[in-house]
Amino acid sequence: MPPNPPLDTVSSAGVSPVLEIQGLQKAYRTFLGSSRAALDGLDMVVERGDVHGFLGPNGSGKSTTLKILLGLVRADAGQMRMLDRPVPHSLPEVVPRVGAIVEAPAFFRNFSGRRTLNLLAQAGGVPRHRVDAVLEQVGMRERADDRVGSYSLGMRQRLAVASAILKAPELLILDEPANGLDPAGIREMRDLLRGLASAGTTVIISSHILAEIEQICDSVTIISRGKRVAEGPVAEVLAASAVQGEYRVRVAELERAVEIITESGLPVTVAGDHLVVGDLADPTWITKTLAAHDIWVAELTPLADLEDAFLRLTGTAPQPGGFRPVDAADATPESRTIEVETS
Amino acid sequence: MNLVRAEWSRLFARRVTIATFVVIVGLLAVIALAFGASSSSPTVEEQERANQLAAEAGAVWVANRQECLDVERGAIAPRAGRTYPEDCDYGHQPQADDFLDYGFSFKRQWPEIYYTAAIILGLFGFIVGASFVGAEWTSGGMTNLLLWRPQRAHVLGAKLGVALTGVLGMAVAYLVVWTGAFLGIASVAGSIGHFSAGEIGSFLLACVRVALLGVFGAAVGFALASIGRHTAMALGAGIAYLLVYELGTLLAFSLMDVDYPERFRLSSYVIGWLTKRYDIGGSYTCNELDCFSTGGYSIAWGESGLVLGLVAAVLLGGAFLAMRRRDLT
Repeated sequence: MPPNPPLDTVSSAGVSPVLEIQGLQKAYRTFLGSSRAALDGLDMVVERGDVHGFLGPNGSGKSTTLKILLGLVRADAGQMRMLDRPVPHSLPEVVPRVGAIVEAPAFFRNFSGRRTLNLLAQAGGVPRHRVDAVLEQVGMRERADDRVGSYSLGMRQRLAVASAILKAPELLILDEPANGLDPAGIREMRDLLRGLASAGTTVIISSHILAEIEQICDSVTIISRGKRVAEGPVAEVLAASAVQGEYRVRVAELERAVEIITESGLPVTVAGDHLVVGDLADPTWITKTLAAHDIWVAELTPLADLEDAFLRLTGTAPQPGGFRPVDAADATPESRTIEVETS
Repeated sequence: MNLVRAEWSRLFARRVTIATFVVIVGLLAVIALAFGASSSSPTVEEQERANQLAAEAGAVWVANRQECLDVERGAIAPRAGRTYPEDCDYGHQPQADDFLDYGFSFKRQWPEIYYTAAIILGLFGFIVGASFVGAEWTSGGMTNLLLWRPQRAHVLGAKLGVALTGVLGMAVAYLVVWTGAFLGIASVAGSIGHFSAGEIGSFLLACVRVALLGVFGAAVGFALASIGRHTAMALGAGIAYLLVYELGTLLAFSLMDVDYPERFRLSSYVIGWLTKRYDIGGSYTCNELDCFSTGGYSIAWGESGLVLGLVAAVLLGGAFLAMRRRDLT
């Protein structure tokens, strides 16, 4: 493969991105010689200060990408820059500014949470007072001296996040940070990440909880089968992947609204507590028409959320009558790649 | 330095390290109690009898050795049918302690006691070394650490250095307690015996070799667990080696009529390292005209040390190579 040109991207804001990946390739080989491509020329850019969602179905190459970035796995080809330095070459210089958890974090079960963090702080030359600060930050102060073996999955996840933010990093890379957390824990995690982002930390989150990503992220990269299929600000990715003319309409009197819309010849279906209206060239028509019949529209939105966009872009929408095989070869994503210019 | 300090804390905070050390201290207690219970101080009559036997046996020993030395330098002709050991090595000169069989004599029995300590410390080193790095791999601790210190060789080297130094320190402490325990038993219910300066030196060197065998065990365990990324890999490989190779080759080489198959077994070099020389078969025989060797294979402690060092170095080289090349998936 010919070498890629050097990465020297500068964003429109005049600030170089925190992370740039170009043409990243990786195939895992077995002892018997067969190989499976995990990454197939992945490109990715994360701007400074963003909370960036990194999405993809199981086996799409998310964890491999993060592991390559952090020096745990070697790439076959491609270039990467993190915090303005080429990696993995300059990883030892960059790592003190990067906090990360990759896949399911694991710790010694018989060490306490505090001892675990103290050992990491000692190994990384981080002041001890940071340990108490992060334990407080992730809500673990009360359980800090208990054995990790006695922690729930959610508590271990908090400990992992604590270990990642121990260095007060400029870039935080989190693989499934909300894994195992209860709803309150998810909200706390969201607040924590927002707090870090508002303090200037760039956060990259790989997650399957798409509603959470939609709420918290400024931008996303969606990958499928080792390639990027969409990237850009969340709202624009959603808009670009929405089915043209299909809208969610929420009103108080569903049956009357269906009658009125059907009379006009537009396709309409009741979906739970709202309607889905198709072939709508001008959405204001709905507002005007229903208002003329004293029906007031409470919600009128293009029918696309991140889950819809994700399933459509990655070709992983569930099919009736069975389960889709993980990393299925026939799961062909839409051929188009959505790239949205950042303003 | 921070990393080494952190690893040092981790080594001594681990339950396996503490539990294994407690187990070997327990073994020492059991062995010491057994010695203490079965020993008694010799009576005056027993001591006099032992002195008399030692004097008689010592005279024979001196005469035999003198004859052998005279034959070796050609001063006299060898006696017909008489065999002489290589280098006229008749072992140590018999002393009174040798004839106090029913009592515990530290001077006479210390080699066997310290060989026992060597086996215990070798196994201890193997388990601690293997578990120290194996648990790091299986728990994800190694991956975590590499996220903080992405210098693989440096991280593995720090862990290895800490494991070997830690095991050496614990082995030295153990041998001090071990020596104290058996000297105590000997002084209360047996005899210590008189040690010359040379014998004390020999004893201390034996202790050094015993401690280093513990370090060798730690290096091998560490290397195997690191290559296999699991403590069980090291334990499995160790057991497989003992059962399949040590026993299997003994049988296979015997069937193939290979001379001295013991020289292909690591255990022979461990024996050579501990006992200073391990003789496999053969003897030094003289006829009317000349003295000659009738074969045999000797493994000296220096050669043993070299072989054991090479084995450890090769395995550790494999561990560092695997660490450098592997994807941590």
